[in-house]
Amino acid sequence: MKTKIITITAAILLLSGCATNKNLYEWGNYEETLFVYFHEPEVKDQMLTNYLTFIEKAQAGSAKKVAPGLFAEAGTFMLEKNDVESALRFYQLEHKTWPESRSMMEIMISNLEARKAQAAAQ
Amino acid sequence: MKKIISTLVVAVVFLAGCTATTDNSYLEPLHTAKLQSILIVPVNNGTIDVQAPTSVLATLPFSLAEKGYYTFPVHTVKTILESEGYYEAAEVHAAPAENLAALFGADSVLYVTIHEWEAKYVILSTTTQVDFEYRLVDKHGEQLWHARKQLAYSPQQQNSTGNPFADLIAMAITAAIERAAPNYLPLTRTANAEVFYGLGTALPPGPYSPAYQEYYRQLELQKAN
Repeated sequence: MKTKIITITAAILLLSGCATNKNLYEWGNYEETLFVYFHEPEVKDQMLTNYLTFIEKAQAGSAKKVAPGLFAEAGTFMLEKNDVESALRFYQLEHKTWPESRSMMEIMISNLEARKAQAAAQ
Repeated sequence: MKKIISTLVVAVVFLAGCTATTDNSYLEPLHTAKLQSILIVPVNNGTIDVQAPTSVLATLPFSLAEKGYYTFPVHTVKTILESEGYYEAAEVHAAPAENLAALFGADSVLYVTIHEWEAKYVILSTTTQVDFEYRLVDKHGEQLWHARKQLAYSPQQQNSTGNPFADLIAMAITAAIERAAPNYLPLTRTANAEVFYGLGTALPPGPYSPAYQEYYRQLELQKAN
């Protein structure tokens, strides 16, 4: 018990003392979503729905930024569901939010736009 | 008494951790490179556990992005690599780093290899023995940083590393994220946190970290003295 209190106190000190130990970003259920996506197909759809709900909510307004890469992952999940419009929207969000993502996102966005144009032409 | 000492040790380690006064010579290439972004490529699996590599992959962005770096979306990257014909992590690891960095516009590439992942079943609990290797190279293929982590993980117990600072960070990180599939994610989170935040292997803060400016200012001061 005593150990627990000491540990908790130390943890509080640690968290309040050093700004780097607070989370910078909103992560939602990102890691769990990936794990489920790779290994538990029976609950995959539910997990993806939860993830997209989180992304939409966090984007609408939250104190912290959504973590790097998370919009892009939402885009890729949507692309796998053949929802090109939503995929484009999420890739554009990643592009807008993170300058480091731009060269990668530009490739994804131009590919999808080419795909869309091709589909429209047919 | 012992507990007071351990608290003091925690406090001292904690204070030292924020100003970086320990032997940091391994950090020099990172200080020069001042990375903005890290491309985390699929994890190479040297074991027969099929869930291990994706579990490690899923938990790498958190520790690194929270350090202040832009981390490329691991699932999207994996998907793109597959569309380029790289289905196996081993093939990705064998490809020239400069090509990968150029393909994604990344500053650096992180390679992680699982050397061991072995669950030892005993009557009351399961201990998983793991051995991970982490290697960070710049966009020209030069190695910037390297770490190896061995860990025995038991989900029910407090999992100590003998490094109270790393223990607390790992605890804080574990507590900060929601419950997940048992064992895999908590284990890989612990290993990653210990490597990226632990003494002797911790990465410097990245540009999105609130500590970034101050960190490099202190470094300049130390150099000037």
